Amino acid sequence: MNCCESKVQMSAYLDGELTAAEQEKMEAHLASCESCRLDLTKLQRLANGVAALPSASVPPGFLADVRRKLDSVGAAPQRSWTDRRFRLWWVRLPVGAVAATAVVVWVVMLTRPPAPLSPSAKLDEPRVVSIQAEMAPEPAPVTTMSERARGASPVPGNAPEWVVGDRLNAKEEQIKSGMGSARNEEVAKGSQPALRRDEIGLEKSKLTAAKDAGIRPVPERILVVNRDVVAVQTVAEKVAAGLSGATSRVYHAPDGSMSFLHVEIPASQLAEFRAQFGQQYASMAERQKESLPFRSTGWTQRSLSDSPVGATGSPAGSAYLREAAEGKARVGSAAATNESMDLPFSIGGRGFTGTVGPVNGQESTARKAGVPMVVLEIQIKPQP
Amino acid sequence: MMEPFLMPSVRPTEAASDRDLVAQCQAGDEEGFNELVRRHQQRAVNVAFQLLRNHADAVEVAQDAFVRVYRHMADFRGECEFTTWLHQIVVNLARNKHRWWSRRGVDKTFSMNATVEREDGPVHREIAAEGPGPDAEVLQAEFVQQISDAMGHLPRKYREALVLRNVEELSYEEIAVVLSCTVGTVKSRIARGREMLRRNMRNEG
Repeated sequence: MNCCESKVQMSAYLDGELTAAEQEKMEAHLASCESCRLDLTKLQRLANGVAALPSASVPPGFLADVRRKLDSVGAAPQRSWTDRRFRLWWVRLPVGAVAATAVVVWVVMLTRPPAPLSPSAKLDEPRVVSIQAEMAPEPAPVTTMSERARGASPVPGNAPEWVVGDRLNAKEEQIKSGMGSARNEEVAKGSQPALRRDEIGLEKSKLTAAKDAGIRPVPERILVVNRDVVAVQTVAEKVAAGLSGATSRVYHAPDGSMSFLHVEIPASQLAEFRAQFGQQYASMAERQKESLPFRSTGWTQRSLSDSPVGATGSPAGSAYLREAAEGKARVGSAAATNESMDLPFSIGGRGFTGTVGPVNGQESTARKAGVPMVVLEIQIKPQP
Repeated sequence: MMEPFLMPSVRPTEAASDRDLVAQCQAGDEEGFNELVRRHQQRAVNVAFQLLRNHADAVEVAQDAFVRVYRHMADFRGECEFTTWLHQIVVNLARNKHRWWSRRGVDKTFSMNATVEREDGPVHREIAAEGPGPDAEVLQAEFVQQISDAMGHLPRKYREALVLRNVEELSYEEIAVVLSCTVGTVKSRIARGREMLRRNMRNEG
């Protein structure tokens, strides 16, 4: 071993992490090299210094605060016998893959026109350009929590608070086109290859499958701004779990800027979900105010009209939607789990953390029974 | 010849007892969870604090970590030690917090000796005095202060690895589990982290 090799291995030697053979070589070298012995002493002093860094004290009432938080976010997620089955890799892998495909399908439905494409078609630039020109920026119809409490309506002249049903269609078309344009720009820059025909065919088949399953695209987005992301997520999950046939999936932007909760729900239950979520969120926010006065919370709702190019409010989220639309979204095996711990997975080469899986391990029986479903997207942004 | 540091990260009795407490908790005994919190709250707060250097945020992250532990206790199958799982959650939540700061333009290279925000009580300084006299203590304190400053300028991945190794005394294998990377990556991050630390200190000194 020479000095150079010794320097590479020295840190691991200090930590007792070398193999017996490596350690032996290192010690033989140290015995004969004064310079490396000096380096080792310095390194050890450095490591001791890191170990001696000032530590933080635990404030009194720490456990009580944890308990209060637990009361606020609710008890542990319900567990059923299906959970145990779901833990098995050979069950969760395909279920995770199906869940991931479903996310892709929703995004594809949002972003790609279902019209058949000619064999030579890459992307239909002229149509995109023309619709892009139509898209004037619209002011966001934002209603705050307090405004809602006062019964105030959104900013006059804007779209209503909730855009559901048929009103969605025109907006969807704009969004699809907007996303197409974003993609085209990338293609033009040469950063992304155009889709091959067979890839388009694949996406079309997914689209058909989604339509057959009765899934509607995201009919509305709720933007929740709250410091306690877990709490909001739990409230939404609890409401979804309480409604028959609803499932939800969570994913987090890798930059921590935003989390998304997609709730797939029978269309007939949408109003009920809104009402319950609104009520439970309000009551949670009240509890937060009482126990943690420094927190500011807010809840705004956005119709699709204020995110004309499918922007999710987060660069990572937008990128995810774009990549998913391009059929590049891939979910790794780590995501094939229903544990809602932050597990890393990758979509289109981009790291994400989060959950992909049915809520509480329950598959939607409603969808299986052919009930028309809608997908509602709750975006959760942390705020101090 | 100098002995390498060989410190088991989790004492066997503690680990066994953690397993009992986890089982207790999984069986629905709330006291099991309370005991886990009491036992590991210092560890959780301190790791979060070393990574974030803000006491209020560290306490919040540690509390959120225990909330997560509670809510997902049924999923914990004991494939790793409880402390490894807890570290994993704390590091993930601290990363989220750090990203949240970054996104809002909060100083990414925060100073490790910056005024510590806290609501109650002081942050204790635990400095291992090697020398017997006050002079040696002062020198050591200054040295630790320099390290503290230099740590604040380390990229997050190196800081995480060094904190888990030198503050939490985890093995490379355990760190690899916590950081979801290979042992080789841990080895390299710790070596590079120390090298960068040394360089940062030389620059500051």
